[in-house]
Amino acid sequence: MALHTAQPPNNFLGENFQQYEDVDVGRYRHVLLEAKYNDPASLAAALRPYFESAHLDARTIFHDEIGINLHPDTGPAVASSITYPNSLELSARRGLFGEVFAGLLTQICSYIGDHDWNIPVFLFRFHNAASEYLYTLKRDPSQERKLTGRTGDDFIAVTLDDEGGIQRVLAGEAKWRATLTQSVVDDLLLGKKVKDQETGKKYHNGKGILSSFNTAVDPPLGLKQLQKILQDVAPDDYAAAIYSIDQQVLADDPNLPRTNLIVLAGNGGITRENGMPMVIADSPPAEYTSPADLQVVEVIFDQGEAMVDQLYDDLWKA
Amino acid sequence: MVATFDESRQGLAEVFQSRYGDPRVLSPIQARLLVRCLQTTWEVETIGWSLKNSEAQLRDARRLLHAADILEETKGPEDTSTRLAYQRAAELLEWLSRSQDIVGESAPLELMSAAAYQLAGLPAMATGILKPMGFDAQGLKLYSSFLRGDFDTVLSETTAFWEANIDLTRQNSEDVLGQEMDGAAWHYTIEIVRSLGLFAYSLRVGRDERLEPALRKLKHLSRMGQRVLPADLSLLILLLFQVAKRFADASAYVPLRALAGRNEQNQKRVQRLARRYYSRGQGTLWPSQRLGISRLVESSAFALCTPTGSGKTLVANLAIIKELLLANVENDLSPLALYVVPSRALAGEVEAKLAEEMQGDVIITGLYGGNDWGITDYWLKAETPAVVIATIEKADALLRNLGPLISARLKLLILDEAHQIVPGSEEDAQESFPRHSERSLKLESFVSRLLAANPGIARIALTAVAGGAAGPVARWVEGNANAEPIGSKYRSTRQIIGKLETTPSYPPKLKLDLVNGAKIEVRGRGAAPYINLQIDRMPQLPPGMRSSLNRFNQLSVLWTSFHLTASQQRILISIAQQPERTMGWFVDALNLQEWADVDDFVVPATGPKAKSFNELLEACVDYCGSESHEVRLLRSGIASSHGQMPQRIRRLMNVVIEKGICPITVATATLTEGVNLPFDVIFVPLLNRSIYNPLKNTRKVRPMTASEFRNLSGRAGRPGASRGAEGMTFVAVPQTIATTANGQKPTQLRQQRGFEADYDDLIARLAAEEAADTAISPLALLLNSLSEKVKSELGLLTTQEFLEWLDTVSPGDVSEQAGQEEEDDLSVLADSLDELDGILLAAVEDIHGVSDDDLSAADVEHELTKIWKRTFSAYAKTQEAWLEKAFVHRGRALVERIYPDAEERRRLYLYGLTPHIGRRFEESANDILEKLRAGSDYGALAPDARLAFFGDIGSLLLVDQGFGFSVRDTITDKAILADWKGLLRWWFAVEDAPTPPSDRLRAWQRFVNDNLEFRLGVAIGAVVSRAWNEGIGDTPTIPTLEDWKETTKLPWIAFWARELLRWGTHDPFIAFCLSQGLAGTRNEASALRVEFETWLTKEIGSTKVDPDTLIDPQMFQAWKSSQPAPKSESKPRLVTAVVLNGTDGQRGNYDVLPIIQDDRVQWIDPAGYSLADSAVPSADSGPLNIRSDYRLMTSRDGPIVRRVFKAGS
Repeated sequence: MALHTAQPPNNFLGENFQQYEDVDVGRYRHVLLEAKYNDPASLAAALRPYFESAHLDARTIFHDEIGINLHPDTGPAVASSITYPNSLELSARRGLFGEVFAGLLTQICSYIGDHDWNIPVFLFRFHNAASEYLYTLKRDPSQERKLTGRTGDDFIAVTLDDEGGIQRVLAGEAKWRATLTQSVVDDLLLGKKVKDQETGKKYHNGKGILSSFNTAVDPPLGLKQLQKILQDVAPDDYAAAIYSIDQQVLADDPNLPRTNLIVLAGNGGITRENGMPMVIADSPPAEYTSPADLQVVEVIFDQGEAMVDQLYDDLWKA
Repeated sequence: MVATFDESRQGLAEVFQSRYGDPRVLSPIQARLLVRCLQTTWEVETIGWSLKNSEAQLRDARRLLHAADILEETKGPEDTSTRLAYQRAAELLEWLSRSQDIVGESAPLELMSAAAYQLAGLPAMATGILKPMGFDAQGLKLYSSFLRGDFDTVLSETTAFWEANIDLTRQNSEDVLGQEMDGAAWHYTIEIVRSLGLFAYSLRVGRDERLEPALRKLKHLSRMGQRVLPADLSLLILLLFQVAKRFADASAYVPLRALAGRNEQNQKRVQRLARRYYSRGQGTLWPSQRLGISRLVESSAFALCTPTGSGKTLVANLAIIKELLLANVENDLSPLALYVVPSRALAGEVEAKLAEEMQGDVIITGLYGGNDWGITDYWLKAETPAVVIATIEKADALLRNLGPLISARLKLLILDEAHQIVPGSEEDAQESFPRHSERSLKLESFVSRLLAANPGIARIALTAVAGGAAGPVARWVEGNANAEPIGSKYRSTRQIIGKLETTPSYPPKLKLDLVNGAKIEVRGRGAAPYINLQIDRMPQLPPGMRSSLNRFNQLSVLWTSFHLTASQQRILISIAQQPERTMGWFVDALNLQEWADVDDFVVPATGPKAKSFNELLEACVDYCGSESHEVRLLRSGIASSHGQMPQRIRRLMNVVIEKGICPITVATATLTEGVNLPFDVIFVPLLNRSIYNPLKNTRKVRPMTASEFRNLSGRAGRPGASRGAEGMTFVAVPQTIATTANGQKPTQLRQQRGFEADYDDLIARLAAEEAADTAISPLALLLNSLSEKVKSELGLLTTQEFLEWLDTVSPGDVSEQAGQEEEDDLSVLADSLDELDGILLAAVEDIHGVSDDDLSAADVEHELTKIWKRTFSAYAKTQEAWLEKAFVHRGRALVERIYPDAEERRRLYLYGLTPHIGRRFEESANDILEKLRAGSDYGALAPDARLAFFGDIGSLLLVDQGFGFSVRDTITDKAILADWKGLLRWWFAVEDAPTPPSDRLRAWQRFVNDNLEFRLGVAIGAVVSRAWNEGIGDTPTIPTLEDWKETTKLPWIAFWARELLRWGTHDPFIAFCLSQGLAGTRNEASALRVEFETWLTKEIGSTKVDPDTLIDPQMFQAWKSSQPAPKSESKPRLVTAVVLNGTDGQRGNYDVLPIIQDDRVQWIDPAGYSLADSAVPSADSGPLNIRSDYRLMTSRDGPIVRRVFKAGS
């Protein structure tokens, strides 16, 4: 069994981040967090247990998979020097960091509606290249890496009723960028800028996080994957939750209340001023049309990349 | 999982499945999607539809997959609701994809649909969707071939991957994990390729010890996919894994190994067999096959009821292997299987398939010669197990002539198309009884007798599900009142039924009514389920052609067919009666100026297609004449087929249809009886037949029965066809009248309403007909019909009176014209009684055999009671007790009073005629025998003298309609009879023979069939058979050519006579060449005669040859064996020395696949690890082929690679 069980470190936020919390505007809440720690290494050490717990399920699965070596001379079990997620390439690990950190925030921050969010297990989505590789069976290392990640619900949290049934779902998008500038954030929310062939003016192509929320299906597709994982690792503990997912998936009019979450994490840009949000804080973004609650969290790190690298080097090692 | 939640989940999923996936109901929106999909496929205007509709349907498909997943977990993969949920999901995905709606998807809908079809147990549908898809991307190609179960192509794709990424074959893919460009995703991709390659290879060679890790790996990859892949992609990977599990469970190796048991020899045998199945793409067993085979493993009698095209033949083949090859042989006799088929055409198809499959382990022989016993019947004395494929008539003759010899060896009876035990309709059967032509009754009689005599033999009935016959057939075959048929709702294609609306003013429209038996109802927006064909309107027909509405309608069908062939559709125009008239109409239309452009058929000029086409064309010119309709239609790409055609032409027609050379076929129902021919669309221009009774001057109209129509429409559909997986059957219905002449209008108006009413009636019957669990049984029907006639004609009303009547009366007492095919009521009664007597006499003689002991009445009753219990009638439905009583009573009376002389009974039995006719035949038999005896100079006679020889014998048959020539009471037929010798001259292809005008050809052919081949053939056969049996005395003896002449004391012409009548030649040498496939036409065969005669002169050393030696079949055979055999192109075995480069060889041997790179062969493991390399082997051993198997072995002389299985071309 590899459920995520670790609690976030106590007083973590207060000790390490300055929190600017805005008041609710309708179904929208914005939170801004700014680093106030001095020693990235100690932050990394503090985060380690939580991250190990978050990664445990995927790590177990990954090691199981690697353990099956199909070479004809190999016996059933083989030890590998490869470990997950430590062995992953740096940018991949930073992507994972963003997702786990979003989970941590979900457990300790107070989000719109003040629900008690529960993260039984983490989903860790490959970069979009996975689809390409799997469809084309081709990989061209010389090709420039595409920065537009896939959009969709790669982070799922739920609230549970007394019986264990799911009451509400949170579908989140977590993005880590080395430097969060206004244009990076706008691209993430609204899609990359493209040039209008006629006018020559640039505009956002609309394939950003907001539009993906606006057109998202209910219940979120990730919920079905979460169900599969729960059936895999803790079918009895989550029997009620599993059943309530069936009810939602098979319903003609699914009515599971939903909260959308956007977590944008990275180092601040040079010109950034403290306390300045990059996503509008006092009203929901104009482009957001979904009826679901929306929670936005901006997290500004200091020496973030070094901290993340340290953290991922140390997982299961320190 | 907590149990209560399991139940709740299951309940939820069941409700969902029944709401959205009921196979008999399409919701309005689902029906609209289907219609839209069909319209898109046919490239015609589509009904209104929005992107939102598509998204909603995609969501429903996903939800159905979810429900299916729950049901699979809680109720299992084989559960009906699980399969139905998968099926509807697959359908929606298929229809969405074929409607070419782009719904924002990251996984191609076709792949998801195909996977769902596999999980629904509908593999042919999966193939049907994916085969026409040309994916560009390598990965999609790989998954597509995997989901089709095309494992050879999977391996081609994976080896292409390793070839492009050769470095990866020398390392572990974890090494790429930390690389740029998302190494983890690349690692994942590599591992998918490894797993699928290893899985495909291990599956096809039955290597379980590596199949298991490949499956385990796939499972872990799919678990990982749940966490790391986008939702649709993770679903696709999960589906791949689930389908892989099904493939593993459905592997042919599993049941074959179970069948083989512990015997090592048998294990090797089944190993080879299963590998061959995989090589032919049949290694994954279909659900219907698995059901049949699992029954086969545990029992020896069952009925398999599943539609044509679902692989019944494979079950039959395995039964043969089990009973003939794997079972312990109790005595020294080599075991024998009898495979009974409904038609000679099917016998040929079954023989070819079986021969290919058994590859020499078993003798496979069809009994199709004109003789009851022929020169191909070497199996009789061979020591190899044999399968004899025969029609019911042949099988019956075999039993009569060689009963005890057959019984001693018989281990297995296979009844193909066993639903033919049920008569087509009661009325038809009652008319056939007195004419002794009801095949269902012959089948019932034969099987009941055979089973009574050999109760222990294994027996399998194969049948397409037809009406309520399945249950009764199962009970009958198993001999168990509680038996159930093994079957599944398996369909290889979707069946759509509708109408073709024809009018003179507009192009035709297709209206869709039923899909897989469910009504298509499209509500809303006034849109009807129509396909408005985008073709030209048919030019106005000349007055003479439009004066008949039927003719107009049939020509509209032809016009439409021509236009559809442009899109590679293969079309059957199915004619209920008078095919020659339709063919004539078609020829006339094709000769119209306005039709000149419509026929753009190009006669194939080269290659195998040209060869088959020309072979047929020559045969048609040979047998039908160069001016015949057959030839004219062929030149326009229209094949034709009906029951009166010479067998050779029918067979060749099947070839050009099967190969798709002729896109259009016009045929009667005999074409499709049990033969699997590929049609996309079937048109039915007329739903009823009219039958004229000249005696009563009445015309009866017989509507096509629902089961006839179902059997016909079941032939439509061709998995993998370019136009999708539907088989479509359309009844052509004129919407207006065709004539412009006022005088004809009222008639045509009435007819037009008739067409419409017939169609509505059919749809109502099809939709309403629920599968009843009873069926008409021929023997019970015969007894009932007798009892009814006795009541009405003789006034004997009670059962007791009827039984007393049966006790005493002979057919001659009932009518003086008994046995002469008279149609007055008393003669019909007498002839029906004679039919019953024929069955009873055969039963009694089967029991009595050749024993000298007298049968006591008690013995007869006892044995007949046993036989009755084996009849279909005893199982078809609850029968009244008097039926059995009547059967046994009459049998006893037969022996005691009607035919008390045992020797006479024996003779009558051997004649094979019903006894009353047989008795009268005896008077002519001696004359025929004398004529045959006098034929010792036949070999040297000139053609005219040979004709005279047959003319003399035939004249003996003119005197009596019972066993003699008989024609319908029409002017044409009577004229033919009057000049039958002229017709014989034509049939025997003697120079200056008269030829039939093309519109009379079929009438001539019918005479050949009914009177020359059948009646004259039967008469001669009966006489020869009697001569043989008198020659051997009481000892059962296997006939051989060496002692045939001595035993029968007859010249060779007696041996050949029936063959000559069958092949249409007076020359036995020509008949020999045609039957042995040495020549395609009579002219070609005739040309070989010179060679034979030269050889014969040399052989005998003199030009003076005894006339009978000239036609001695032993000489023909000796000549044939003296001919040089065609050189076989067997390549030497491939063995090549290799250098190990990725293994230390510790396992001793390894499966490997070749990759040629830089003039070296890299030998890689199926999972993509390089193990060795070598020089490219010499070309002598044939090219390296991924479809073949290679094995890397370490030996004393160093490592080598050997080809261990060579794939066929």
